[in-house]
Amino acid sequence: MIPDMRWAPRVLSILRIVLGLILFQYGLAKLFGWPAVHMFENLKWLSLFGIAGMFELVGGILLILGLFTRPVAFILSGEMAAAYFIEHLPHSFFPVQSGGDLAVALCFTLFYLAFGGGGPWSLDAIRTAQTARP
Amino acid sequence: MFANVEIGSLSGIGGLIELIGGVLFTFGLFTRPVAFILSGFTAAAYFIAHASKSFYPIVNGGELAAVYCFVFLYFAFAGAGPWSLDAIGDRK
Repeated sequence: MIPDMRWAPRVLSILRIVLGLILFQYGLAKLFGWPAVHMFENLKWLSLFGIAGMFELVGGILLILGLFTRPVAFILSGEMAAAYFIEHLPHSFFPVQSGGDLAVALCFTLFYLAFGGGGPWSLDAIRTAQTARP
Repeated sequence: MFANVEIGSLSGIGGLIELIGGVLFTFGLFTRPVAFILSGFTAAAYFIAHASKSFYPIVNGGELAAVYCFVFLYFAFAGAGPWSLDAIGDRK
């Protein structure tokens, strides 16, 4: 029943792609209004939310591709920490009440990716394999 | 949203799994089987509570469930790391 540990790096790649898709979707919703979310209607690109959306759009794409995973994950981890303290913490100390659980979960998962990298199914892995060749 | 939840209801049983699973996961005890169960649990939560409302997680509110599902799946494969009761148990 317990999964084979040798698959852990590949599952890490799957996790990275899911994180990228979730962030990419936030970028799309904030900057282009699709999928339509009431809260993000008529958002200015150069507002706090709009700039966050740019980070999420570009960072999300790079995470899906697994390109520059470690620095990208580090920056997005910091963005999620900022989102938590700016957007959620003022509402309540408890994440379940402030709605900041997603920001916390993303912050620490991305922080792990900043150390652990994007796994074998990534452009980073292809890049390293090519530079290692003589 | 969680006011007057019966412990025997679907949400109540979900809460029991979260309470016990959350404590074990925090201490890093039996991390891999616990993470495997929680991964399946959050997948069920996504499909039962969120997927019916919209295809897009950002609209149906299921992003957290989706993130948790894959994070727990990774832990089911990779284990809890060195700062865990599992690691102390392995050393003995």
